[in-house]
Amino acid sequence: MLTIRRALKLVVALGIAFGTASAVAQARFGSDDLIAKAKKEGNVVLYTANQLESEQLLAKGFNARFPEIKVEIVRAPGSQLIARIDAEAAGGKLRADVMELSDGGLASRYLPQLDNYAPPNAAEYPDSTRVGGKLWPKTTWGYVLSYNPALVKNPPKSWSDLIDPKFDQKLGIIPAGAGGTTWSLAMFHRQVLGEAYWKALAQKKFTFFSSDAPLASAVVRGEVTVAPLKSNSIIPMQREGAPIRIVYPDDGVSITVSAAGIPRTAPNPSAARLFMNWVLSREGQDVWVETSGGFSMLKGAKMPAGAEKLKLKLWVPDVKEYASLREAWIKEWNLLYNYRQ
Amino acid sequence: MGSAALAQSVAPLPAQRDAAGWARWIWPGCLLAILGVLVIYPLAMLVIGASTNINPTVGGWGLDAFTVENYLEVVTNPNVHRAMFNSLIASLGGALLAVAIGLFFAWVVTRTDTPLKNMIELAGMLPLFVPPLVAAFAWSLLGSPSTGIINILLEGSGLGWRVNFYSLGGIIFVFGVYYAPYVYMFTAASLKQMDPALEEASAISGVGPFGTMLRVTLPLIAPAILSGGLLAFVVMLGIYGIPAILATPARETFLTTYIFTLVSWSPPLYNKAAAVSTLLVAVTALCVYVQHRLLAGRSFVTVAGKSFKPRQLNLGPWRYVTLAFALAYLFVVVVAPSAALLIAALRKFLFIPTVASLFDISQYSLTHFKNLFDNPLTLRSIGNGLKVGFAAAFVGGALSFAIGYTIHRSRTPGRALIDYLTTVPIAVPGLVIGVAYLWAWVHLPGGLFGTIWILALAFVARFLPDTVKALSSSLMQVHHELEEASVICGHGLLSTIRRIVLPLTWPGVLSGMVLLFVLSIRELGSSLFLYTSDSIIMSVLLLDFFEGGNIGVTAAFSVFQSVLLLVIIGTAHHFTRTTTDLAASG
Repeated sequence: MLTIRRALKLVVALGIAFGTASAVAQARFGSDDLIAKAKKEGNVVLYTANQLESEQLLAKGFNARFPEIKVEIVRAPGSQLIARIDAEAAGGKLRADVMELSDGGLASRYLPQLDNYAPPNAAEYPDSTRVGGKLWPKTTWGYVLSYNPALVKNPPKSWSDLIDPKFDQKLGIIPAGAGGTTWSLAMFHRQVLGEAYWKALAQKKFTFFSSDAPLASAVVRGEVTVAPLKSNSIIPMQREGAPIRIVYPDDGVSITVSAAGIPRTAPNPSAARLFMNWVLSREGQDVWVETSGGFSMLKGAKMPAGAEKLKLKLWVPDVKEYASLREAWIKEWNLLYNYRQ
Repeated sequence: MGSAALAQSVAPLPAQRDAAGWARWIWPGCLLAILGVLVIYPLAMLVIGASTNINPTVGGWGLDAFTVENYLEVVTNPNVHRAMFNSLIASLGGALLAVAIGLFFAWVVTRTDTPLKNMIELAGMLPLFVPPLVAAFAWSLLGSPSTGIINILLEGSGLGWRVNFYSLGGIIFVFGVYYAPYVYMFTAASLKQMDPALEEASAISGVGPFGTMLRVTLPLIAPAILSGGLLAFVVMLGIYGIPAILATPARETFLTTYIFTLVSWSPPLYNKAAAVSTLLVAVTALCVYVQHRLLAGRSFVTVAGKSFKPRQLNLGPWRYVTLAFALAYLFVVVVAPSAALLIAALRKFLFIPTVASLFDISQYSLTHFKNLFDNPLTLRSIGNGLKVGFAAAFVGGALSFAIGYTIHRSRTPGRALIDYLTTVPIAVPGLVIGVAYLWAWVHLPGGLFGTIWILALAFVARFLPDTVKALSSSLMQVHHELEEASVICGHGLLSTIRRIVLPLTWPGVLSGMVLLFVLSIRELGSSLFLYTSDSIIMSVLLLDFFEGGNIGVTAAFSVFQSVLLLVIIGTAHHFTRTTTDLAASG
């Protein structure tokens, strides 16, 4: 018979079990000592070029596991982020606990200022995505297509569809030189789809945007009707019912991998490590893929919504060429697209 | 400005005659040192920065790398030419429109019998309380070529017109409409202080009212018109927010956005930015000089002088037409942008295919406000904004009082120099002050850079002329007999200030401090280069949200900031005469 006393005992037992389970679950992400220190610090400051909403969703996932640690996100587009980091570092005021750049090439110049760090599951990431034992592929982006379903009745299915003479939608694009992901896309177009495609696409009329969020917003509003976008800029809005749909082009998705590390001057080093451990873990990467719609380099990771059943051609740029071809090809891109800097 | 005040300065207080020759320089020396650090040092560093090739945040600075390369490149760069062209044309057009609107309202309020004049006067000054960034953002929502709310309404009504605010025309419109109050203040004061005898003489000679207006009134207030127009022109040249939002989609650059792009480059091009900044300062300094000459010896905004009763023109039924214009202005400046902001803040997505969907309640929710306050940076930016505002208000208020008292109520040497240095910041656009401070302070030890204090100091420097002017008018109203009586009773200078001057001028001092507080909260241009994630303030975060493409959150934050400003100014107006000072600040 369930008396009050028994019920109370049951509740207490469940509570202990739950608490222990939660503690055990938390322990997957770091030693007890690390977790205790991180909770004491209570704060982790993240500098990133990633879209704000995506990072906020990631922070929510982290807080579901570690509610005592606040995540502050400082966001700026690629080159502005670098300028900010440089200015703050020079004044001795760099407040970043975790620094993430979309550009592995540019990030490596910060290696001397970063701390050695490796997550518990380091071995499950491909060697090419780890830089110097300090930088890790926290975020993987995939460049896909998007369109406004209320205004576009025949959406494109591939990159090649864009240069079809019958294709007459209002196109938007981000300049190739804006950051690492846009450069990957430009490189993908030229290396994989060919020079002829590269030139033909540039003949189309494009409206330029500075980064993904404004471009995605423009698609939703109908200012442009079709645009290349990163998958994480499309999927959350699509899920909320906004008039935007994702298309995984069948001739390939260009993948860019971020480089994230912990500066030596991090004010909250334990919280930084705990955060990175979580983000790079299966749970963290799953949050990124499932709620934000991104990709992941983790072995055996999931695919974003709608891509699971497709046989996507994922293209990752060669690390050396990514750095060596960049300046020259971006100059040509600007000329072709008539983009004045 | 200063010369007029000096001409009215008072007889020296007995205590000062006893000081030794060099000792008389101690106090003005202190003030000059402070002004030097606040104003001259950063500007000097700016000029030095334009003449070297070193990156101050990486390599420090030194005088050995002198080069004119930056100036040459800037002067020959077609991008700079284009930016300069855009800036000059937009500011010129904006100034002309501001003169047209401001003069019209000044005339309506001071010289006609239009009803509801108090409301019209308020409407004429309201635009000053709207941060330029918020105004530009609201108009981008209204006037975007394909999805702007105006265009949706036009399409729904069947008219074939479209508007496009992403253009020089759009910028000229926003400039003109939101800076008309500058011209209004100058011209209204001038019209109020005019001796009506000349107009009466003209009327007696048989010239009709409009003829009198054209041949007598207008020429008499021409200096005020030109002065207000020039001031508006100078301010417009230095604005960052409006071109950032309205010119960038059209891929046009202005000098201010160009300077910012240079600093945000990877790696940042500080030296070129400094060179372009000095170019901008050269243009504005020239305009301020011309304005100063026009106003030589005359003060248009202070409360001195005889009071005339200006002639009122009886408009008959036409006064309802002028009232209609005023209401239309109020609608354009306040109602339409506020509606746009509220729509964008409360609507889940800004996809508005038809007019009907604009009124679809299911499309609205509070998610953007929730997202706004979920972000820990939001509350931090509000806290920082308030802290910087208070710091600037106290430091600036104290400094302005000291400067104002020294210039207008004492005979210490060096007053003219102090007065001159105090007015220098007028000629320096806000953005440039930010670049100058960055250059000057980033490498100095002591960690001032990156704190809210560097922002507060930059704002104190930037708004020094306005605050000193506001405080001076209070100071000049205290008759010197009161101070002399205090001295005769045996009190020293400081005691006299504490017991007599301060209590009498307290409303004016408070007014000046509130003015500085409000201006600091609104300021964007100078903060762009001096903030860090720790010291981020509301205006910068708003720009961050906008450039990050979060239209909903930007709109929600705009609504919040507008309400906050309204509450602050409303409270201040209740306790002081801040509104007239704010309007007169220029």
